[in-house]
Amino acid sequence: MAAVWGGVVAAPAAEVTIKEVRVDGRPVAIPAAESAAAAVSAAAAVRIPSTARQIQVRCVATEDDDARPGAQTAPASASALGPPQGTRLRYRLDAIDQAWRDIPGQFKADILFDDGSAARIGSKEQLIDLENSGWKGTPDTSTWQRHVFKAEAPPRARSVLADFITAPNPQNVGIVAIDDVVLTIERPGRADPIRHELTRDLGIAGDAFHPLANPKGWQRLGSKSEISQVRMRSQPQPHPILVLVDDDPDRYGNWATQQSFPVEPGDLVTLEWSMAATSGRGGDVVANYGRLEPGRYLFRAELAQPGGEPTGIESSLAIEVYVPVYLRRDVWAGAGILGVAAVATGVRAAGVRRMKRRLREVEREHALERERARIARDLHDDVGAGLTEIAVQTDWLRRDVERLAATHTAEVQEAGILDRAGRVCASAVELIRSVDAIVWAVNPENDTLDRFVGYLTHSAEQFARAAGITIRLDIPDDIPATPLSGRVRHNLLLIVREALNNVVKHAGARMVRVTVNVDARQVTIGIADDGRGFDVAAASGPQADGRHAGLANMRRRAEDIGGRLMIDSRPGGGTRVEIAAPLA
Amino acid sequence: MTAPSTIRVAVVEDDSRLRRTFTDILESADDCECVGVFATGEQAMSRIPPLAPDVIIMDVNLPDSSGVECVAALAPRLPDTQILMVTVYQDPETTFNVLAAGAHGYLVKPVMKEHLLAAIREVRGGGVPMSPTIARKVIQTFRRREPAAAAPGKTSLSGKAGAPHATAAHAADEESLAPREQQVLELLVKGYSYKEVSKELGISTSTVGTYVQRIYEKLHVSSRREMMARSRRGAT
Repeated sequence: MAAVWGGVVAAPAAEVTIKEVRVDGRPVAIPAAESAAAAVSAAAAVRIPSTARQIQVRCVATEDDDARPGAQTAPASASALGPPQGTRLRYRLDAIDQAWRDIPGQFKADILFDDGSAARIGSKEQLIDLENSGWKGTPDTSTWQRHVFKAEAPPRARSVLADFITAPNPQNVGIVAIDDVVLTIERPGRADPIRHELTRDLGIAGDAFHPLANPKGWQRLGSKSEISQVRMRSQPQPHPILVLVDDDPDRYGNWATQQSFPVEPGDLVTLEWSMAATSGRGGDVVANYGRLEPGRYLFRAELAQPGGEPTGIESSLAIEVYVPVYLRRDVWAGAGILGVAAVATGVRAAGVRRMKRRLREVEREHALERERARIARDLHDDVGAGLTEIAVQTDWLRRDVERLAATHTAEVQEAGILDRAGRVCASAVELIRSVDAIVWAVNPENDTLDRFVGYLTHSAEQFARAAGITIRLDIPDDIPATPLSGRVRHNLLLIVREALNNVVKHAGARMVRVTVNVDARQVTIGIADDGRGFDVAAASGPQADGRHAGLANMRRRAEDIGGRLMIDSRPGGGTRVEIAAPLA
Repeated sequence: MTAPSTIRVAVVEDDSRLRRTFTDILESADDCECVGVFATGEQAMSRIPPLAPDVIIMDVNLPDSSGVECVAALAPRLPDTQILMVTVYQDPETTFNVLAAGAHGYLVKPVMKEHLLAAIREVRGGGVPMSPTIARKVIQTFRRREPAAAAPGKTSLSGKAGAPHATAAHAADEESLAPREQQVLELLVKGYSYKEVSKELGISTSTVGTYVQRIYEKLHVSSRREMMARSRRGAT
């Protein structure tokens, strides 16, 4: 924890989260653990193929609202100024970046012309990129730079003002120190330009000094007045300077001249000032990397003070860039060796066996992923389309028969054609839904908790709607993208389906309530209905009939994924099923 | 009531069997007219705009371009056209992307005659259904975009340091949800049907539909802006 320039020590109650990793635009699952210790361990790395052209990591700073000092209170009282917040988000990829990377913002100075009745009739702005802008911790250690820009007073102009604004773009945070501000007005034909030295006497000295003191001739505008501060600079002799300490990615600060200075149309106005600044981005940052060499990397994101001092709040993520099996020279070489080895029998048989085994493992691992994607595509294209055709055609058939039935009622009814066509159609539709579920389940992109919950609620809602039951959903807003294995997903989905099936088939319920709760270790899904309920002990006992086989099935599936199933029901009192599954 | 005018429908579907099925269904209905059938996204993007159909039925999976891209290209050019996506996937991600790109509704295959015609009439009449899962994603999307839109003056400051608020408020109107729209969304997220929402808020069902339609429009506008921003960032 570093002491911050100006004598305040920051203790921002905030954290940084690595929210999303995208490889060539597609999101990939992030392992749950984000602490530095866990990330460097072998278990929790994001695996990225070396063929990836673009890797994007999105980090988000989350703040604790209680810890923010009175965000929009008047700057009058000394206690209103809390420590600057650690809202500057920066990142580095160890072994690639030599230092922390910031996304610097811009700073803006304005010359503003009025018509004498405070109506703005013209303005000129100067945007300054804040990359490497000289700030080095204090005004005295920083490298100051002089800036100048000019504007001509437009027709009808009667007076001129100037102001300095942080972050014309949202989300930027940083420090801008301003000194020696001079506004010069030159009139063609007039010998001497008029010079206004706007920071020569700010009227703050000794005891009166406070960051939120009111400097003479200046006013705080902007959306957060505490950003506009006054600090001391000791060179060439101690004097106050104007500073913008922007610690808020959602707000901006502005120092504006209080007074406006008379001009006439055609006057040339020059604004000059010295500044030292630093800037980064708060709130939300996307780090972009191109192709990476195979190997292991550690991506780190940290929160810093607006001036760049670290806060010690950091998150990291291990990234492993692997060579896809089809590019691996050792595999091809291995295949070659195998060919030779097959001829030269008996030579290094054990080595060849080892090589063979390893080849198979690597091959399996990578082929599986490709295979899953291929099966999903094939299922969709072939089986799905075929079944769709069957369903649609039998639907038409049913309609034709219906028309026929108008004239040949008896024969049609006798043959039961209408019925059978309806059943074929319904089966086809059901099969299509199953194919859809399989396609979803085998798609590796869906191996995360948030995707799973999205799919689960979607199918629960459609199921309830089709059955004419009211559904209420209680799902947390932000579900993490914790990886969830295909086995866990599959079993959880089937347990929930079975529970919903029971609600529709046996409970005679009017309403079903589906709840999801997620914590660091487990996900809990509840399905509660207002139906007729049943005796749980009897249904689970040795005499349980076939109708309750479903319950045993649910239990088995829960055990299979190391989860816990709870069934709470009594006759006349509705049923609540709860399944808790560990997130490993 | 006057006789309902014919709904002019264009179809984009790469599977020839389904193409035929769709046209058969459309031709069998008195109030629908099939004005064009296209097998690829490219054909659709170049040939649909002059037709200006009332409704486009579009497959999500096209061989040359994704249906989502196709929607994103067509929707801004045809503001009065409603787009219905047809998908095999129940997958809420795909569905949401399609809706955010500019579609107004979607149908899950197999599309039965009655469902298709009902959806066409529904989308034409403004009654666009929104499922809880989709409503939830809409809320998340607006919440994610909120900080940028709500940061007072930051985006609209250029040159007008004195009065940044008017422009900021204007941008917020276009891109963030009104309190009533937010309320409707929150109830939809909990699984309320339009009828239940109307009872809860004391408004008519058709007003609920109007709110939902407005939410879709805001979603389209802000998604398009985000897409443009992303492509601009990608270009530099």
